[in-house]
Amino acid sequence: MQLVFLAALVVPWLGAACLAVLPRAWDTRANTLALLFTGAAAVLFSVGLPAGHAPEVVLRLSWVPALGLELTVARDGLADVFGGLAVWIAFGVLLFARCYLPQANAHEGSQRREAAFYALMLAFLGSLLGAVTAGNLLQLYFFWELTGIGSYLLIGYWRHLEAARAGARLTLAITLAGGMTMLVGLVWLGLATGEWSFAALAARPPLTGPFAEGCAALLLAGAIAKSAQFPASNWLPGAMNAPTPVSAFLHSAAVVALGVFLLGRLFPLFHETLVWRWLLRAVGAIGVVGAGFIAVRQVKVKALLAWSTVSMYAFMFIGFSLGTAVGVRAALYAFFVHAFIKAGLFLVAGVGTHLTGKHELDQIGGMARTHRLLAVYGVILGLSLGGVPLTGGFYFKEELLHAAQEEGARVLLVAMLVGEGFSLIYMLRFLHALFVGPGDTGAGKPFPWTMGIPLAVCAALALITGLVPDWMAPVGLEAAVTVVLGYPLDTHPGPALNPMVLTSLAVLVGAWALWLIWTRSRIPIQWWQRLPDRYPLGGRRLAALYTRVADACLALHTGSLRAYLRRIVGLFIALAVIAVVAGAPGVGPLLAAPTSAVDLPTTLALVALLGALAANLAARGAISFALTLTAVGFGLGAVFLALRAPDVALAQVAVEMLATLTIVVALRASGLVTPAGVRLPPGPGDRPALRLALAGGAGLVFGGTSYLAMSASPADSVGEWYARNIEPLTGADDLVVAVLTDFRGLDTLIEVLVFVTAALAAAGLYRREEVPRG
Amino acid sequence: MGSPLLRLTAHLILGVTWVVAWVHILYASVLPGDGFTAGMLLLVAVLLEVVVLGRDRAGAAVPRSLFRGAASAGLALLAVLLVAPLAWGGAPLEHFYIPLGIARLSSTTVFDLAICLAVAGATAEALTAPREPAP
Repeated sequence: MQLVFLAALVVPWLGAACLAVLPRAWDTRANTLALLFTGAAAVLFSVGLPAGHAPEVVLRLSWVPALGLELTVARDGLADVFGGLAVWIAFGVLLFARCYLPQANAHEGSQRREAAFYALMLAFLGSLLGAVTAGNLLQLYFFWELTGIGSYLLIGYWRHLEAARAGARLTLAITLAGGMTMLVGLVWLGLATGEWSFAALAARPPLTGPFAEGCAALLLAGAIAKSAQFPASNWLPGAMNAPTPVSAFLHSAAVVALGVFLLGRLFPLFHETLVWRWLLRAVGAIGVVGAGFIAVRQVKVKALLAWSTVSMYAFMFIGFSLGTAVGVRAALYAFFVHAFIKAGLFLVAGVGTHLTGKHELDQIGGMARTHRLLAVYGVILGLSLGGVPLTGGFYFKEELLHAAQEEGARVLLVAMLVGEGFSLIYMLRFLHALFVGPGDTGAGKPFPWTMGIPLAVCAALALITGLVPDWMAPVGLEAAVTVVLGYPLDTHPGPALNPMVLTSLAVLVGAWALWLIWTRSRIPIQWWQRLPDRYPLGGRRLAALYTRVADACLALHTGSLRAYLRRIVGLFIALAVIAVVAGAPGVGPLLAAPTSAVDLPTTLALVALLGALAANLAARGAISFALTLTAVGFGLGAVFLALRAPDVALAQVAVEMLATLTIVVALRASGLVTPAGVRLPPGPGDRPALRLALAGGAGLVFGGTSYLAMSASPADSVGEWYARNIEPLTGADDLVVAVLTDFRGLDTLIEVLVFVTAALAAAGLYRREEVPRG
Repeated sequence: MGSPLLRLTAHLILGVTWVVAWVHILYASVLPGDGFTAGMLLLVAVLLEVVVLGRDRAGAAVPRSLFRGAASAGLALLAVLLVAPLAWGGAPLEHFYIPLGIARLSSTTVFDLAICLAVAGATAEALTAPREPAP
C-alpha cells in the first residue's frame, strides 16, 4: 500500500518528464499521455482512501541528523482530502483541455506546444502532492515554492501576451514574498521548538506568548498570499489571463487551496494566539465583503469568478479563525464543496469562450436557447455557489454561520451574511448574462463530450452535497477534521430550520430582490465600477495617500541597472555599519587580534595584486579597465597559489578570463565602443563622488568581513574533521571522493543550480527584452 | 571577424581546451581542477570564438542545440546522481562505483562531468544567444 501511494506521488513527475521531451511529431498525443499519467496518479492516490484512516509515515529518509531533520512522506486525512481533490480535478480539467486547448491556442495566436502545457500541469500536480504529503516544515516550503513557480509558468503559458506575462510576474512576486516570510516563520518554529515534523509539532500543546504571536504572523503571511486574501489578493484576477484549464485547476482547488491547507497544519499549534484569531478574522471579514462587492462589478467572466474565489476563501479563513472544532469542520467542508463547484464554474466559462470566442459577460448570452445541457450544469453550479438551499454551497455557508453564531462573533456573522448576499447577486448576474441575456450564443457549434463530462461530475457533486451532506464523511472529510483537531468531532450539526437558517434565507431573498431591482433599473455596470472612485474606502485623503505611496514606489523603478546596484551596495554598507555600531559580538576582539606574518611568495603576490589594482583605478578606457581588472584577478590567483590553494587559484584565473571576455563581448554588442573610444553615458543620479564613496565603502565592508571571517577560523580545521570522519560516516576509502560527493555534493549541486538559473535568466533577458541604457 | 591566423588560433585553443577539460574531470581527485574549472575553461574557448568570429558566426559554427543538450544532460545526470543511491538505501548524492571490468568508474567523476556540462552548456547558451526583435 505504501509503494502504491509513493507511486501516486512519482507518476506526475514521470509524466511531466515524458511530455517535456515528447517529439514534436507526437504532439497530437500529448493530451492522451497526460490523461494516462494523471488518471494513473488519481487511481493510485485513491487506493486505500480512508474510512477512519490513521496517519502514517510512508517514507522516511535521514537528512540532517544533527538537527533531527528527516525527509518524510506522510499520509493522513488532511493530505488525502487536499491531494485527492486536486488529482481528480486535474484529471477532469485535462479531459476538458482536450478540445479546449487547440482552439484556444489558435484563437490567441500561440505557437507554443501543447506538450509543454501538459508537462507543466503534471509537474504542478506533482509539486502539490509533494506539499500536502510533506512530513516536515522545510519539505513543505520546498514544494510550496515549486507550486509557485509552476503557477508562474502556467499563467505565462501564452507568453506572447503582455497581460499574461504581467499576471505571471505579479503572481510570482506576491506568492514568493509571502512564501519567504513564511520561511522565516518555519525556521523560527523549528529552531525554537526543536521539532521539524508536523506529527511531532501537532502533539505539542498549543503555543502562546510573544514567540507564538510573532511566528503565527509570519506563517499566516504565507497563507494569506497563497490564498489571495487581502491585502495580497490582486494577483488572482491577473492570473485569469491563463488558459481556462489553468484557472479551473490552479485557482480553484490547487494553488489557493494550499493556504487553507497550511491553516489546517498550523491550527493545533497556533489557534489560541491573538494573531491567529484577529488577523484571520480581519482578513476574512474584509475578503467576504470586499471581494464579493468587487466580483459584482466585474465585466469579464473569469475576473468575476476570480474575485468570487477570494471571497469564498475568506469564508474558510473565518472558519479557522474561530478556533473551534465546529469552525474547523465548517472551513474544511467549505473547501471541499467549493473546490469542485468553482472548478465547474471555470469550465462553464471556458465552454462559453470556446463556443463564442468572447470573454466578457455582455458579449456572451442566451446560451440556454442553444446549449441546454450547458445551461443545466451552469445553473446548478451557479446557484450552489450563490448559496441557494438544497445545494452544497448553501450548507457550507450555513455551517460557517452556525460556527460563528456559537462563538458569538456578531461582526463576522454580519460580514458573512453580506458576503452571502453578494455571492447570490454576482452568480445571478453570471447566469443571466451567459444563458438568458443578449449576446453571442455560440449557436451551431457543438458542445464536446470531453468538456461535458467534467462539468456533469462537478454539477452532480454540487447537488449531492446539497441533498446528502453527510456523504463526504467516509471519503475523508471526517479524517481531515480529526487530523486538525487531534480528536474526532463528536457532534455533527446537521441542517435544521433554525433562526440562523431563516436569516440566511431572508438575506438570499433580499439579494435576489436587489438583483431584480438592479436589472430593471438599467443601472449600467460602469456606474458600479466608478463607485470606489466617487466614494473611496477610508475617504479621499486615504485614497490620495495611497496614490502618493504608489507613485513613490513606482518612481524607484528607474530601469537603471546602475541605480539598482548603488542601492544594493548602499544597503550592504548600511547593514555593516549598523552591526559595528550596535556592537555585534566578537567584532572588537577580532579587529584587535594580531595577524600572522606573511612569507615572501605571498608578499610578492600581494604587491603584484596592489599594482594591478592601482593600474585599474587609473584606467580610463573601458577595454583597459577590463584588462587591468583581469590583472587584479590574476594577482588574487597568485595570492591563492602562494597560500597553497591551487584549486582555488585555478578557479579564480579561469573565472577571471571568462569575465574579461564576457565584458569585451558585452561592450561590443552594446554599441558603446566606437573608433574614438568607449562612451559610457551617465545614468540618472550618477555622481562621481557618490560612486567613489560606495566603492570605498563596499571595499571596506567586504574586505573587513573577509578579514573577520578568516580571523574567526575554528581551531579544528575542516580538513582534519573530514579525515577523521570519512570512514565512520561514509565508509569511503578515498578522502577526495567522500568530500566531493558525500560531504560537499549537495552544496555544490545547489551552487550549480543557482549558476545555471542565472545564466538562463541572462539568456532570456538578452534575447527578448530591451533594457534601457544606464 | 579576425584574420585567418586569429581564427585558426581560436579553433586550436578550443580543441586543446577540450583535452584540458577532460584532464580536469578525470583527474579531479588527484590534481587541481574539477568539473567547474573544466566548464570555465571550455567557456573561455567558446567566448574566444565569439570574439574572433562574432556572435552570429560563432553560433553558426557550433550548433546552439549542443549547448542546450549539454546543459540538459548535465542537470539530468545530477538528478540521477542525487536519487540513484536511494534505490539501495543510501543517502542522496552518496558516492558509488560503477564496475568497468578491471577498473571502476567513480560517481564523483560523473558528478564532475555533470557540473562541467551544466555550467558550460547553460552559460554558452546565454553568451551565444541571438537577439530576437523586440515585440
